[in-house]
Amino acid sequence: MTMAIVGGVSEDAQFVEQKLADGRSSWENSAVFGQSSVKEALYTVAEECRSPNWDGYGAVPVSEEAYRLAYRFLEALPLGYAMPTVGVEPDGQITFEWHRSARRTLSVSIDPEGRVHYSALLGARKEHGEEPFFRELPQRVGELIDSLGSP
Amino acid sequence: MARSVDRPIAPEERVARFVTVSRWVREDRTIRPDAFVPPPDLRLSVTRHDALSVEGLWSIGRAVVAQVARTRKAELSGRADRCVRDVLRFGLATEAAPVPGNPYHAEIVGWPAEKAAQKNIAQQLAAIAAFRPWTSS
Repeated sequence: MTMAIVGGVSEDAQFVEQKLADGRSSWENSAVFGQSSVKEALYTVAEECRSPNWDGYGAVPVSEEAYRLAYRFLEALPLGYAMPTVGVEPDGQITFEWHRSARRTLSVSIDPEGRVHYSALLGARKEHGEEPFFRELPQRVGELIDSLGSP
Repeated sequence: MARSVDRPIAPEERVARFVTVSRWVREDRTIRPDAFVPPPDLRLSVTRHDALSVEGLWSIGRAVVAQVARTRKAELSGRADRCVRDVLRFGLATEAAPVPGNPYHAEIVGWPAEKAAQKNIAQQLAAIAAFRPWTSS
């Protein structure tokens, strides 16, 4: 934990600094905890959908590569971003959803070849596209998450 | 007299997408678009309501889940009902595709090749689908 150097060494200054540090640590822990629970959900989904026909309609199993890329996508989300819920599509791709209402919703899926497919309903507007995913959150996806705000 | 399942699917007919994956239902009991994204062959399975009774429709759903239960723990969460006219609105089509055990089986076809475009249609279908939870009594 890094303390900001403010110059003042009075008891009051130290008290304020400690409170700021406590708040930041608490926020970081909360953000990390949020991501941990989503990672847990990701693992559960991948395990539940490892076998062929996991949906009764001939769904494709979730592959190791699909799981690994989905995990990396979660890690690429900056701390402080709203966390998604986890799902899965019949082609074996993991999905992350940020859902505020029927017309304010974003769904992102990552294919085993490292492409991010996203689709959003933003009121009267609709948007969808594809971006490559290496290690960083694709810019447009980040902008869409931001535009949806917190739940 | 021809069986109703042999007739072409009319726009005013209703079709059901059985929800066999609990994660397809959000906490607020609405359906995620994941349930409507087509598989790789771009043929999305549904069941025609047609002249089926409510129990007849649910028995088909239970049979679908019974298949899944052979390889993993599974249960029927419910079904998402949609009017065929709404499907047609997105440039898709619905084709009768009877299978052993389900003469009312149909498929939603005509999906775009681009995955993101499929997701967008699936989001819009999910937004207007009526979710009927399954409750055993």
